[in-house]
Amino acid sequence: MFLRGPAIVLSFVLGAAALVSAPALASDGRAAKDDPAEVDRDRCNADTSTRAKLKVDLAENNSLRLVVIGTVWSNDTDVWEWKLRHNGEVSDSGRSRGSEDASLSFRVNRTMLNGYGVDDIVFRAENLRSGEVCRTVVNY
Amino acid sequence: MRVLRSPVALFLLIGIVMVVAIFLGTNRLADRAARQEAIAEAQGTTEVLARSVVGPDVPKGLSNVTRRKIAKADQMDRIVGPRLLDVETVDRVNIWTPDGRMVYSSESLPLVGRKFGLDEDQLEVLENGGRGGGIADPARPENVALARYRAEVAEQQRAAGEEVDEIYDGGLVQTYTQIISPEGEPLLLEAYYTLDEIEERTNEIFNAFRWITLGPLILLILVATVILAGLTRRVRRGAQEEERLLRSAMDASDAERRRIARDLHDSVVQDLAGSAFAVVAVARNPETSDDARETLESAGTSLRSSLKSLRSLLAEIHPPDLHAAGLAAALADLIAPAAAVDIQASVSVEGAETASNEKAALVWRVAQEAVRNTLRHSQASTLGVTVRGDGQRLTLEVVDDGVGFDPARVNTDSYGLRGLRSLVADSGGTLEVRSSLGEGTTVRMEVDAQ
Repeated sequence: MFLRGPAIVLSFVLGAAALVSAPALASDGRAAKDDPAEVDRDRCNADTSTRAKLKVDLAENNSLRLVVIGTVWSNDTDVWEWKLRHNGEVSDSGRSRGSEDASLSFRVNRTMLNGYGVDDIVFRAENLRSGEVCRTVVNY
Repeated sequence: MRVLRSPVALFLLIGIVMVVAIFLGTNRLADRAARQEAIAEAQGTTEVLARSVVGPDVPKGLSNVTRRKIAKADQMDRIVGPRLLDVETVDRVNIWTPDGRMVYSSESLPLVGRKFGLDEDQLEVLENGGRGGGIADPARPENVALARYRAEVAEQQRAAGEEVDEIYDGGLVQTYTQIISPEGEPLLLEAYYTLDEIEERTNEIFNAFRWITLGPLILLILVATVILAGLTRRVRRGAQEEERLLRSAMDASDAERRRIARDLHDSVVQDLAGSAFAVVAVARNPETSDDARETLESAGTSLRSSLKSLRSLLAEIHPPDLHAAGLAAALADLIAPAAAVDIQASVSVEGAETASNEKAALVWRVAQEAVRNTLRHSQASTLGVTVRGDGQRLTLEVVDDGVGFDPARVNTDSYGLRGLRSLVADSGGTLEVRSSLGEGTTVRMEVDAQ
């Protein structure tokens, strides 16, 4: 009886923590243009542990430009082909591979112009070996 | 104003004014040249930007950029942005299509994709190449829109309590040149440069020239002033010497005439007077025959006439009573010989009694010279001598209705009048001779009465 009490309390605490953090992790956020926007996908593919994140923010001391950072935790050293789209057009593209120094991940950091109205930014990365695709979208 | 009567002071004043005018004129020209140089330098930099920084990396599809489709502008910005940081004087860079649409801007991003139109010069360069530019016109539509946007941003920053972005508000130089897109389409690369820095650099060069211009000018004026002062002093001394000699000559002439008059008066006049009395006495003697009486009376009349003429001549040379109160009588004696040449002469003197004797003598001398000239040259029929005084000023006018003369052809300063003009000027007065052919002559003198 004595041992069951603390276990119940612990499970409640963990459950509450999970409930609180889930919405923040799952959202496909449109923030005000002054706040950074992030999207974090737990999984790019149901069968793998690949995760991707896209973060968009105003450039420091420069409200005319955006800093766009796309990260893929690929858990491999495969070559990934990535594209960044801005309002439907390819703004930049390239190839990268996960680095052991960066915990088997790669990051793409680019600037974009802070366009008129809402900027639709898409980060898409495809594993050239396995065909796995990670795609995240931010509307900034 | 007395200072300005000195030729040296006048020259110095004019010299200073000219130096200042030249300095200001040179400054203006130098500023214009500096500005032209600034624009030329900016145009050169823009051409380098076009050839080496921007032109080679124009992305495909840049000319299709709209307000929404700006991915190609992103690419341009990633290439051009870091390179522009190395060009200090560049304020911003824009790229335009022929239809006047801005497809890229390094600073005017809110304007990307909008149409503002290009002027004739810009279209000419865009289509045919070359370069152009000048001082930026803040009234151009895209510059107005940019200024408005920046003001809005500043207002938002202030409202949010944030630090307001610093914006350069000095003059700008706008330059442009042609670049070619990968599709072979001509585009216009436009660059704005901050004017202050460029002009500061160029002015440093021209400043040296300004002082090179000013230094020799000032030195020239100073040297010329010193030389002029020396020459003026020499000329003045010469003029003073000439005047002294003239005065000496006149004084000597006067003295000699007075001596002759005195001698004539003491001897010839007395003898003639005695002879006249003796002839009249004999004529009146009852024992004298009628024929002899008639001859003697005629001789007596002739003698008296000659005596009168001689006295008049002597009075002209040395008037016996030359003071203010006796001026009228002396002038009357002066015009006495006019009758002998059929000239009707008159004298009128009013208000001259209070004048000083010195001024009365001066009036008489000028009248003497004028009357003499009338009697000798004018062929006049009338002659009027008028003196008017009001206690302050004394005015003499000698007017005849003779043949006159052309002042342009004849030196109005005869020997006598030239000396008198100097005397009158020294007394603070003026002497004027007016005449024209067929219109007679007027000699007018005005002088202080005291």
